[in-house]
Amino acid sequence: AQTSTIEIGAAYASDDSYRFGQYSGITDKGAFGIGGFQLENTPGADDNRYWTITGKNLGLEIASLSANYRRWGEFSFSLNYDQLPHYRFNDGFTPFLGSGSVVQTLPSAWVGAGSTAGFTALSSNLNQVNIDKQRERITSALKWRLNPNWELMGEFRHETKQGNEVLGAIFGITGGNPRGSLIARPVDYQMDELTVGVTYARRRTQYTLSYNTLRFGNDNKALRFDNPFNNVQWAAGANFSDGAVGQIGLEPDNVSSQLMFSGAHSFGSATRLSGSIISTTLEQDDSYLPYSSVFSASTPLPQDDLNGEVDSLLSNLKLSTRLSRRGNLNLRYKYRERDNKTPQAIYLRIPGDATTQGGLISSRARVNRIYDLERENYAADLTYRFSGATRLAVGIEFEETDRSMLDVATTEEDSVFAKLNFKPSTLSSAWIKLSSSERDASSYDGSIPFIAGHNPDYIATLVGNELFENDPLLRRWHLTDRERNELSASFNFFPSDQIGVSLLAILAEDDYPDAKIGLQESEKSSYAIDLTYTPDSNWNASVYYNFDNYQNKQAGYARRGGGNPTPFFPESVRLPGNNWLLNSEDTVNSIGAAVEWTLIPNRLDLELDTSYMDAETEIRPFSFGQTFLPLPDVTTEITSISLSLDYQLRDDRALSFGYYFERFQSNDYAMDGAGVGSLNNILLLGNQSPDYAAHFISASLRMSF
Amino acid sequence: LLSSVSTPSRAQSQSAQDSQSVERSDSTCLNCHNNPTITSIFGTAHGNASIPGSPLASGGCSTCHGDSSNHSQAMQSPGVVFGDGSSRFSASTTELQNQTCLNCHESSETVHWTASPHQAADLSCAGCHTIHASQSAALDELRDASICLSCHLEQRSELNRRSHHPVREGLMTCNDCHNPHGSDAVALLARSSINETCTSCHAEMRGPFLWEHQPVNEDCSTCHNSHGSTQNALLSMRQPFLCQTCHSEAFHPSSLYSGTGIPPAGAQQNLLGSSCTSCHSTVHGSNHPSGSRLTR
Repeated sequence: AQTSTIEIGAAYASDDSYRFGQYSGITDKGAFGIGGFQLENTPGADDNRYWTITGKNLGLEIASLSANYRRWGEFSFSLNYDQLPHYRFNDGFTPFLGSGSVVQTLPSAWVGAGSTAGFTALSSNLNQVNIDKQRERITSALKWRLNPNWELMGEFRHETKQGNEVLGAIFGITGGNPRGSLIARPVDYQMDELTVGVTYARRRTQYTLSYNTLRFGNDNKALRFDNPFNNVQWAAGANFSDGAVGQIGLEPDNVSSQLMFSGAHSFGSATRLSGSIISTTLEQDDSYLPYSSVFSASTPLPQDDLNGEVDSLLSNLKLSTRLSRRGNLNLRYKYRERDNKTPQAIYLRIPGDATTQGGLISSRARVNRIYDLERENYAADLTYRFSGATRLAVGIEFEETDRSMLDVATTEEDSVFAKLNFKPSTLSSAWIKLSSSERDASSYDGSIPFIAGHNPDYIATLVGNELFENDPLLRRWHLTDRERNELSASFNFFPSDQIGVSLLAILAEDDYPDAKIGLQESEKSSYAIDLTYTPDSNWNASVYYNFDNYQNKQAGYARRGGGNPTPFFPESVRLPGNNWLLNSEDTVNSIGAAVEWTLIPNRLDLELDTSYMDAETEIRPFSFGQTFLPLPDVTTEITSISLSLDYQLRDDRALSFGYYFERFQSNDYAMDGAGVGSLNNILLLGNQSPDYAAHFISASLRMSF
Repeated sequence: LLSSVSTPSRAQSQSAQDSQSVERSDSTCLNCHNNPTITSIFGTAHGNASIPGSPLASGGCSTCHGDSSNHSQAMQSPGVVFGDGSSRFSASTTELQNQTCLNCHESSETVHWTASPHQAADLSCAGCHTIHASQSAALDELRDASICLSCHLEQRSELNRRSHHPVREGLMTCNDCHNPHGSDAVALLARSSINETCTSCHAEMRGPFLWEHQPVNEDCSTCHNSHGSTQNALLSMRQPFLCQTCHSEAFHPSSLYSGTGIPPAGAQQNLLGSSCTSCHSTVHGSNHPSGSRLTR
C-alpha cells in the first residue's frame, strides 16, 4: 500500500528584510512558489520493507530532500540533503572593491589620511555590503543488523558553508592604536565526516567500537587588503610606503581521527557497569603565511608550518546499583586529557604589516603556548525512595584539573547536591533542588603565561613586576576560586483533567572572592509558568511566561604608563581613582500562547502560535577617578504570530493557509548612529541594528494518493 | 508556518489496520481494544509480525503489557500500564515501564540510560514516545523540540532570543547536539564533549592553531551560551566587558568603557562596531606567524 502526499502552493512576503531571512532565506518582498511531497509505502503485515522520499520547503532556501529505506529489524539506509541560510544584514557599506573576496582593493580615487576624518573620498566611494552564509549538507546513514547480536553502522556527512562574514582587517599599529577596517571576508568551507562502527548487543551486554574522522577544508588561506591609511606615524623603524597591502590569515585546514569504545554490562537486575574510552588526534599543517606582506623578515620563520597535533583522551566509568528496593547508588569516574604535541618555537612577530621585525631579545619574540589539560572527576549519588512518589537524591562530586602555561596550575572543586521529589497532593508533583560547589585554585600566578609566551632570553632581562601581561590582581573567573550555589524548584499542578499548571524557579549565584580585578559576582534568576488547557480532543490551548535576569559585577584598574612592558605595581601604591566597577544586567521577558483547534472534525483544523520576547541589557559603569557616562540600554523586542488553517476538501485533497508575522525592534549603541567613518582609526561597515516588520502568507493544495 | 506548508500530512497514512494484521494479533485483547488508538500499532514496527523480534512476532500484546490474564478474565490491571495510567488502572512504576522497553532497546543509543539525568528524573519512555502511533512526535524531527521544551523551560526562553541556534525554526533539533537517552558527556551531549559538539559544525574554530586562545580549546561555553543569548554571536556577555573579565593588560584592555565612548560624547573603537574583535578578529585562534595577539 502507498500513502503519499504532494503539496503545491504559493506564498507572498510583504517586505524586503534581510534579517527576516536570517533562517528562512526569505529576504525579498514578492511572490514565489512553494511545495513539498512525501512518497511512502506502508508495509503490510508480512512485509518489513518501508521507504519514504520526502521534499520539504521546496522553493525556499531551507529546502530539504530525504530518502529512507529500511527493512525493519534488519537494515536501514538514508540519504538527506538540507540547507541552512544565515542572513545577517545588507545595510553595510565599504569603500573596498572585491568585498567578500580574498583580494580587496581601494578605488583609484581613494584619498588616504592618518585617520578616517581625512578620507575625503569615502562618501563617494561606498559600496553596499551584504553579510550572509549558506550551509548545504548531504548526509547518509546505514545500519545493518547482521544477526540479533551484531550490527554495523556507517554515517557520512559532506557539508559546505559559503558566503561571507565580518572581519577586522588591521594594517598597522601606532603606539597601541591600530589602523584597520571591518570588511566582508569570504567563507568557503568544506567538511567531510565519516563514522563507521560495530555494535554487539545481548540481553545484559552491549559494546560499540567506532571510528570517526572529520576533515575541514578552507579554500581561502589569506586575505589581502589595501591600506586606506597613510601619513601615520607608524612605530619606530617602520619604513613601509603608502599603498602597501596588508594580509590576514584565514582558518587553516584540519583533520581529526577518533577511535571510540563504549560498553555496558548488567550484573543481574540490580547492577550495571558502563563506560567509554575515546581517543582523538587533531592535526593541522597548513603552510605559514609570511610574517608581513610588506617587509621581508630579516629573521626567517622557524618552520614552514605548524605541524600541529593535539591528542585527547576521554574515559568514563559508571557503576549503578540498586542497594535495596528503595535505594539506588551511582558511582562515576571521568578522565579527560588534552596533550598538545605541537612543537614550540620563537616567532618574531610583526604587528600588523607595518612595522619592522623586532629582535630576539624583545617583547616581539613570542613563543607559542601549547596548552595541556588533565582532569579527573569522581562523583557519587544516592537516591532513596520513600513511600509514594517521594524520593530524595543526594550527591557529591570532586574534580581536579591540571593546566599548563596558565595562571593556575591546579584547581580542585567539591560539589554537593540534594534533590527532593514529592507529591503534595494526588493532583500535583514537585521537586526542589539545592546544589553548592567550591572551587579552590592551587595558587594564582599571572606571570606564568607571560613567561611561557616569550623568549626565555628576553624574560631574563625583566624584573618581577614586569613579568605580567595582565594585572597581577586579576583573577580569571574560569581558573580562580569560586563559590557556587543554586536553588531550583518546580511545581506541577493538575486541578482537573483539562488543566495543567507548571512552575519553575531557578536562583543561582557565583562568587569569586579573590577577584579584586575581573569578574566578582554573577547571579541568575529565572522563573517560568506554563498553563495548558485541553477541554477535549478537538482543541487545546497553552500559554507561558518566562522571566530571566542575569547580573554580573566586575572590577578593573585603568592602567596606563610608559615602559614596555609596563610594570605593574602593588596595590598599596596604586591610584584609587583608577579603580572602576561595572554592573551589567540582562533582563528577558518571554510570553507565548498557542492554540490547536479542530473547528470541524475531519474537515477544518486551526493552529495559532504567538510569542513576544523583550530583552534589555543595562550596563552601569562607576569610578571615583575615571570619567564615565552611563551607556544606553541595549534592547530587543521580537513579536511573532503564526496562524495556519487546514481544510480537508475530501479524503485526498486539503487546502492549507498560513500567515506569519514577525516584528523585530532593537537598539544597540554599537551600531545605531555609527557610520562608516565614525571611528578615527577603524573603518566600520555602518550597519544599523535590525528593525523590521514582515508579513508572510501562503496557500497550498495537498493531494494524497 | 513554513513547516506546515511543506510537511505533508500523514494523517491519512494509517492504513495498515488491515484485517490480516488484526487476525495475527492477540484476538483476546482486540475483543475489547479494537479501536484506532490501539490498532494503529499495526502500522508500526512494533505491530509488524514479519519483523524478527518485534512484539507482535514475539508474543503479541503481552510482550510489552506483561501477563494480563487477570486483566482479561477479571478486569484487573494488566501486567504493565504505560504512561500516566487511566481512570481505571494506575500506571506501572516508571522503572517497570522503561525496563519493558529496554528489554529490546538497550543498545548503542540507550546504553547509557541507566543513571542518566532523565532516568534520575523518573522520566518514562512513554513520556516522550507514543508507542501505538505510527507517527510519534519524538520521532518527528521537526517536532521533537516541543517535547524537550515542555520540560526545559529555561532553554525555551533562551531559544527565543535574538541570537539563537535555529531550533524553533525547525532547522535544528535538540537531538543534533543531545542524546536524550543517556550519554557519558555533560548535558547529555551526543558527542563526547562540549567542544567536540560545537566544532562538529564549526570545525574552522578547532585548530590546532599556532596561537591558541586557551578558553576556546577548553570550553566553548566559557564565552558562549549555546541555546541563545541577548548578545550577538551567542555571547554570554557583551563585549568589551566579557573580554575584560579575563584581560586587564595595560592601556586599552584595562580602561573603563562607558557612555563617553559613544556618539555624541565620543567614538571609542572598543564600543562601536565589532568591539574588541574589530582588531582581535582571530579570537578563536590564529595561525599567522605574527598573530600572537589574535589580530592576524
